[in-house]
Amino acid sequence: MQLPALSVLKIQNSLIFEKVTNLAVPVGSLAVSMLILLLIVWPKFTEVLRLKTATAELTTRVQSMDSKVNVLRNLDQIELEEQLASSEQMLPSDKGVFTFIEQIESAAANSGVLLNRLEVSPGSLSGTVENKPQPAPTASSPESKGADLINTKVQLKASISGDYNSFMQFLKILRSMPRIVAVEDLSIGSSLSTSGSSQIRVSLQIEAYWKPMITQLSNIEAPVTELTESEKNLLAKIKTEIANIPSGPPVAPAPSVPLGRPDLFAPF
Amino acid sequence: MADINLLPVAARDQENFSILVKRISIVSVVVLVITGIVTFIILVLFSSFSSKRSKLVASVEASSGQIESLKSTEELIVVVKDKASSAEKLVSSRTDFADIFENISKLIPQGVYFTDAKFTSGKVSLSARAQSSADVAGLVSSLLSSEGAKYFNQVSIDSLSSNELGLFTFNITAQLVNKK
Repeated sequence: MQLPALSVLKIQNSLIFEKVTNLAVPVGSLAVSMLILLLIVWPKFTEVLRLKTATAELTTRVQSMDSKVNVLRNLDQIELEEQLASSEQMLPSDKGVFTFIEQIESAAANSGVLLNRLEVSPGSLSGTVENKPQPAPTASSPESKGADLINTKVQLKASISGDYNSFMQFLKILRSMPRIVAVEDLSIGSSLSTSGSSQIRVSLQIEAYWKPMITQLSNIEAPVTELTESEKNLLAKIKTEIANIPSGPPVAPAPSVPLGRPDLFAPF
Repeated sequence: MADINLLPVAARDQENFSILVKRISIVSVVVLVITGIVTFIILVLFSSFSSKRSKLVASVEASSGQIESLKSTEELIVVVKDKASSAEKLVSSRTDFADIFENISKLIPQGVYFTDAKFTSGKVSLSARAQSSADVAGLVSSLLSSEGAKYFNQVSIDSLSSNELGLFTFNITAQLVNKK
């Protein structure tokens, strides 16, 4: 049988067209799926991951801030003010050189030692921290005392004389002073007095510490550290000691003296 | 007897093509369904995390406001903590000479007295006199005892001499144990 050539061609074309249309729907849907995955799902997925990290971060921030609020709410403002007064007595915010000298003179007078000489280099009185070179760390000096306090101390060299018991009393008074002072270098020599009793001559270096008050708070989210039990006990001890001082804690930075001198160059 | 293929070649191709189309259709439907499900899940997750984030941002703002209202308390605790912790370090690290003298006086033999004592940067140098060599030995023994070791270590006698009266003069150096 012989078919006409044009009809065969038509049939072939319609078959190809049918094949293409049959394939178009599944291939098209596959392409659409790929497009959705690439253009919507993948960007949103990365965004979800970013949001998850951000949410975890925010959750931590909220928790730390909530705990900070709780800590701050539980603190007693009045007690804190008392503790601030005690801490200010231990570590004043300025050098307080003249108060310190007065305290040493008072300690010497109360213990019975004779204060022969006092030597102090107050330096700047503005209360700024000086950049002195750091001394080499030794057994009793600064490394263990915290690097933050190396430059915030007033050093006073004193020479005293008296009997051994008075000297011991002097040391005890120094240690029990509300302001933190430390005896560093100590040199003791014995001698006999004119009355024949034993006397000692002592040269010592006394260090009084101070610390400028923090003027700027850290980040609002920074956690608040509460006082430890030992710190609370120390502050309470100082508060008791201050209360036991009859005249109360020294308030004025320098002792009051009568003022006014008509002739500036007339001797006493 | 060999099989006789009764189907024409064109019909077989058509059948193979139909099977291929069917398979591709199934795969495309499956992929489309999975894509839909994944898209839905991702969008749900996205909206959930977005709303959670908004709530957390609001919480942060609320907490910030509360902290701001408690600023005076925060200032106080920060200042007190700063000073108290420094003070505690200082108090625990300073040398208590009164305590050292009181305790070593119990260890010193009655026939010994010091003429000079120097405490510099943790080093101790003692010049002393003793009535007899036994007293010197007693002092050294005390300093090396467990009680003496609480205050001094690396004890050494730098010089020891006696005069015609039998009095001993000697120098001792040691390292002061850092009392905390």
